[in-house]
Amino acid sequence: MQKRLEWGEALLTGVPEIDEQHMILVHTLNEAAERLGRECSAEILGQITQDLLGYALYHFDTEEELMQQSGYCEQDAVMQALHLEQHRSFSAKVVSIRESLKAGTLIAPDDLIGFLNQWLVDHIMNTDKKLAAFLLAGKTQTATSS
Amino acid sequence: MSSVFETIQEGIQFWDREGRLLFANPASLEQFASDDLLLPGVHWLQWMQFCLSEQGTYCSPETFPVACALAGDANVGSQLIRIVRPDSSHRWVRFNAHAMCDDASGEQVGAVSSTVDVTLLVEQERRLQHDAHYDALTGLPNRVLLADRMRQALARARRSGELLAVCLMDLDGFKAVNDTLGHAAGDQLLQEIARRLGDVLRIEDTAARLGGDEFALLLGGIKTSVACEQVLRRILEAVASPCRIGGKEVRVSASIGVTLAPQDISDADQLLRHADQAMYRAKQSGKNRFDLFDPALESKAKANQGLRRKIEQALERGDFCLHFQPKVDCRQGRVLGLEALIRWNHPVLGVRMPAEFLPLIEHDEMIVRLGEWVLGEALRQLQRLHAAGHRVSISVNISAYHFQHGRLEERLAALLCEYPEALLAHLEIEIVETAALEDVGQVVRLISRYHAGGLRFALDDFGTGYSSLVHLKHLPVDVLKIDQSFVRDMLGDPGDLAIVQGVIGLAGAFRRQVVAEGVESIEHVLLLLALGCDNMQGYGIARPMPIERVQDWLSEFCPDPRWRVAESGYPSHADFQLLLQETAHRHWFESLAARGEEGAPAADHAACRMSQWFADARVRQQFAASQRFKALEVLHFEVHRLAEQWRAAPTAAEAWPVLAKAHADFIRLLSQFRLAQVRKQAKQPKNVLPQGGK
Repeated sequence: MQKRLEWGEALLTGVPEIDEQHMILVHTLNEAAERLGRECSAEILGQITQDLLGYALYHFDTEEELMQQSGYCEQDAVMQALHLEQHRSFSAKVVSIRESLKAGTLIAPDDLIGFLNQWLVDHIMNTDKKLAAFLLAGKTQTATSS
Repeated sequence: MSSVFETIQEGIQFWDREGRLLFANPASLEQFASDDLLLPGVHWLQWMQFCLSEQGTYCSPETFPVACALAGDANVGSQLIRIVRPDSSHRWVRFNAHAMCDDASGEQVGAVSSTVDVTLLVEQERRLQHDAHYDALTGLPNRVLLADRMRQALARARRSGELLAVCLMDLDGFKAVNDTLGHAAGDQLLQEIARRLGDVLRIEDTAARLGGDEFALLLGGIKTSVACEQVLRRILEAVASPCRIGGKEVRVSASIGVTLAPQDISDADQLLRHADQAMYRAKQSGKNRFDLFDPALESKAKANQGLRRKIEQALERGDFCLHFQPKVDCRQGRVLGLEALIRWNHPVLGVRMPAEFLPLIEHDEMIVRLGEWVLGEALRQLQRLHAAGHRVSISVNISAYHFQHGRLEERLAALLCEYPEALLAHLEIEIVETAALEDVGQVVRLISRYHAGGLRFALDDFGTGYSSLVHLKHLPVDVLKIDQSFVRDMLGDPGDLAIVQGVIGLAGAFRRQVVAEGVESIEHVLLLLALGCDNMQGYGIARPMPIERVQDWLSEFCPDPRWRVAESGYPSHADFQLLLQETAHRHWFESLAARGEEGAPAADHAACRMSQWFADARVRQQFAASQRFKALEVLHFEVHRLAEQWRAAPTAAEAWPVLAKAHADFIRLLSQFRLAQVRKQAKQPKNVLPQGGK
């Protein structure tokens, strides 16, 4: 069985809105692991991936709106492009898991949870934290200039 | 002067410099009810032993009024002190003390103190306060005091790092007791429940009555949710055990909603609301139980609602649009029609695919609204295309929910009557196979109603729903669309190829049109043509495109010349065998790549089916003169040699890349060889396709 993700200091980006949603994502992944540990069926995989799609759309919307509002693109176009690309590939991966599910191929629970946990931790540590640092720097700047 | 002290109601006491009593008047005796204390020479410390502070704690010698006055502290205010008399009855007094000085020298000689009995006033005030904070019927704290207790308990939990369980409890079956035995019995029952709660809870916990049969519980000092569950189970048992009221046995149970603070990061009001939601769930799921509020679940629900609202807004704002993907008959090289596919022009996330957002509303009324919009929009575009001279058909997807709950028959009628009948013959409804199977009767009704008008019906994602032959016999659909996952993988997976072949055979047997989805490459096209499926859709034919591009695409459409190799007739049996060999070899290589060292298929040349083909006497004779055939055989041998080498030392640098390159070269050469054969045969007299391939 896969290890549970531990929600804690290490994963905090410092932007409360983002952190709260990450916490829920971590919880969602742990819950998915637990459910799949008990039973792995097309129905449960279907529910879990649907949940993920929905939450991803919601969460990516939040982050990408923050990017737009803050002018992240002007600051670091490459990083923003990479960030968006990671979001898109996450959704694409989940969609492809659902497609193969439809055709009767069930992804192995360890593969699914492994992918999800790895993706989330990598994404938070390497990508979201860069965005958060930019957002927080912007905030202190406006705070000191006003 | 002393006669004045004899008669006034206030107690008056004089103390010497050392704090010993000089004189106390009779009113003092009345208040303290102890002769011993009033004897001259008694020290104020002895008095203090019978006094409690306003808060009910012992008085301290530093702040006791007489002590302060003797110490020369001029600013001693009056203190509210509770006297505990020897018979343990209480009096409340206002205690004042002042320094007493010699008139001539101004030197302090002692202190004078006064004690005013305010017992009546204090008790009245306390009673009022109690009534404002406690429930009159059960004596439990009420809502007001609960708020106060919650504040304290939350602060304590944050300090200690332990959990506070905030619970709402509601009695199941209480109304029935009230209705059948009367309100007096109901009140007695509430008192009994309150008493039992007091028995089960620890002294530091709070049980409050909020009104009616609703209680709130605060359970502090909890380390894990398991510990909390034990307490809750005890409460459930205590409430559920029978009561005797008015000689009758009465049974009720409790539904409890629990939320754990500070895990559940919210203020007191919100905590109660969350507990209330959990209580509702406990009631819903069968009563006599508790349910733990899940903050993540709540946030997810919020996210879901947020998304649904966004989809609704997007529909109102016109943020959805249709893209159209052509379906082409590759044998005849003509366009059959277009499938309308919805896209969400998300203001932040850009263009989103239906697979990303439709699942979120697939069990929701929202999908019906969206489906109706798609139908309306598709018809509008269909009319435009026809007006421009493109007489194609458009197919529209109808979701399972829409199909089952959307009053589709009615709505279709309303929608279709706005358009000329001739146009309807160019509209096709695609229903996902799995949805159609859930309600075969409904599909049959729908189809029979609209078939006469010319509307066509397709079963989408065919192959994923395990339709039985009997179903297919009864379902008068016009088209079967082979699910794209099978088509996409048929070149590498013999199982998927078998399904594709099976569906094509089924369609032929039942005289239905068949369309293959997910056609991505020329190999797909040629194999499908060889298998007898001419109608195709996929990136290999054309990508979905916005309506602005559709007209140009239709005008400029010209069939891929490579399709023509199959146009003059089916490829030969030998060629088909080659195609299958190619498929099998790709599959072998992919399994080798995917599984690594363990469980991979045999690597050696002898085990490969292709080797048998090379060794076949007829084959050798047929291609004796072909240089390509010789090169192919050598390369095939090389591929297997490299595969064995890699197998023996999988970590050796370059082992894998060299093998991969050799295999890619081999497959490329094999395709070329095959296509060359097909072209050669196209010029020769007709061959007959062996049905089913192998």
